[in-house]
Amino acid sequence: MPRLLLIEDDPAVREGLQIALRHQGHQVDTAATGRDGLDRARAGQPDAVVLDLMLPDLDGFEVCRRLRASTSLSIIMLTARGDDFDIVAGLEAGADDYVVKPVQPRVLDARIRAVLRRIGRAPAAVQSHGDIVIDRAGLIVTKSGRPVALTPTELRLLLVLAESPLQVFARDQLLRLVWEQDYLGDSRLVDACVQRLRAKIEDNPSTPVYLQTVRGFGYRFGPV
Amino acid sequence: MPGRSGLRSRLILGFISVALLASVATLVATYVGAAYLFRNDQLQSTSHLVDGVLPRDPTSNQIALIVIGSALALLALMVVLAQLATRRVLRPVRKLAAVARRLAQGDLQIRLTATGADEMTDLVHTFNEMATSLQAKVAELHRMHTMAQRFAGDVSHELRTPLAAMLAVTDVLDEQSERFDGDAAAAARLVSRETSNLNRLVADLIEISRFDAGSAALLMDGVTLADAVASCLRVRGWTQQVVVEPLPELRVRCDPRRLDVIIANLVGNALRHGAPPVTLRAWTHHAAGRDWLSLRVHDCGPGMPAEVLPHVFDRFYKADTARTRSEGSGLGLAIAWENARLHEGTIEAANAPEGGASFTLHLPLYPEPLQAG
Ligand SMILES: Nc1ncnc2c1ncn2[C@@H]1O[C@H](COP(=O)(O)OP(=O)(O)O)[C@@H](O)[C@H]1O
Ligand SMILES: [Mg+2]
Repeated sequence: MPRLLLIEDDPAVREGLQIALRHQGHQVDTAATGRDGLDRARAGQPDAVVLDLMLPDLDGFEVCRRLRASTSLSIIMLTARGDDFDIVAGLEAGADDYVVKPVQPRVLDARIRAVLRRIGRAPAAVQSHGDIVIDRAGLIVTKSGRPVALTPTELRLLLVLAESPLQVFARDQLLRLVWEQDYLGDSRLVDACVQRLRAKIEDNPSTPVYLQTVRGFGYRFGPV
Repeated sequence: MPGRSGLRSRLILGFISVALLASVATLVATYVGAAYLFRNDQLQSTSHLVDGVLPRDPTSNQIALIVIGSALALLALMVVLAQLATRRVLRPVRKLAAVARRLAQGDLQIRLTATGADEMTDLVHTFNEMATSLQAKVAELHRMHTMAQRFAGDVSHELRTPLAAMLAVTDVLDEQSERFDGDAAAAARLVSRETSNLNRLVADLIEISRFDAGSAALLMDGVTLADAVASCLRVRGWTQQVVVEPLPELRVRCDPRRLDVIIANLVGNALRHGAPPVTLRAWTHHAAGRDWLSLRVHDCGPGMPAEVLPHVFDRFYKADTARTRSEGSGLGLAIAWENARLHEGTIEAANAPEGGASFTLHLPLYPEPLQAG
């Protein structure tokens, strides 16, 4: 059973979402504050965190950054519709996906399951591109021999792109393949994830070699 | 603009007629007088009257020529004077007209400066007072409008938190209601259904309030038109109910979510307010110096009465009052229209000549950059 941590300050929303997620077959731990959330994440080792951005003590962005610093669990943030600044800031802080509040429980569940599925489906093979070695069986990525810590979403994106080097992937395509979202998904999810991935695997993230932008169209892996 | 030069030419004409009358009177008087002098052979003794001007032995024709000549010179002088005088009189009037025009165009700050103390100055003062009170009224209206908008936005945002809690448990309620009996089951279903409706309404209100606050932003991306249409219909289970004519092969630069909202609104309306078959057609064309994508949704329903047509994009406007409330908020087309406008596009509502309602979205086609970077 997937273990979730729900960090949400409003008691009614927290209780409602807990009931709904439990009903969908998740094991749900809850926290009402950012600090409590961080403690519980450390102690409970959940598979994914559902994180409200508006928290009384530490805001959601800070919680996100601190979680990212120590773990690679999946993070889904709860935001208000159209608060674009929040969404961008949240993705930059390391969130994998977001849902807009009020959320239909089915939608939240689908997103959680998509995030959790990102680990663990890949053909067994070891590829090397330049300094980077991708072990698809062990799900390990190393750069110049040193392992790179990637979140499931980042790993999945890298696997998809590197599976067909030089092929250009449009953002909506990547949203489908990595986030399992319809074309309506927010393409900033892709951009933010590419940025984070570049920061981890490129020598110089501003002149990327592995993850190249094809302006106005999308991204491609290489040429290395 | 005939009105602008009308006053001026009338003034000039007035001056000229006065000059003309004066000249003619001079001419007649002189001519009659001269003829009388000639007849009495007293030219010699009266020649000092025109000494140095008339020839020593002038004929009546020469005198006539001189008189006519001076009359013409007088006329010419009067024309020039008339020009100058009318320009002086008209300058403040022109200025007033120009300032009034700018006021009408929305420049409420503009005022006239008064010089002197004539009727014109009174007019200038009255005009300035009018402009000041107009400006105050408009500012007040604007303030009230903004307050009302903000209130609507705030209320919607406040509703969101309790709604989030309620919406979270609707699925549980729906499933459990099967085990309840009679009234309890009906009550559970009602609460669940109306929570979803309320959620839609609040989401629409928040969307509208973002347009009003000017905080609605375009998140531009490229989408394939056929994909956008197919996904929009598929997600809502409408694929079987809509006839999609072959679409142009096209990648469109737009905000995909907003395009989806527009198409979903038009198709949803055609299915709910119109009747099958519902067809969707798209084409590109060139107009007003740019390329456009047009997308038309047509249904075979009753269409819209002529008095309804100008209002379909109004907020909360529902022509069909007999329909139950929960069928729609009446905000759908207002939101669709705002979304189109955000893309610098429009939506046209019409009744098709063959019957049925026809809504056409026009979106400017932005070129999609395609170079590697
Ligand atoms: N295809 C159509 N045929 C007939 N009437 C329509 C059609 N589309 C819209 N209308 C009229 O315009 C009104 C406003 O539409 P809309 O803003 O989408 O609100 P809603 O669909 O929620 O009633 C509708 O209530 C309906 O009376
Ligand atoms: Mg509608």
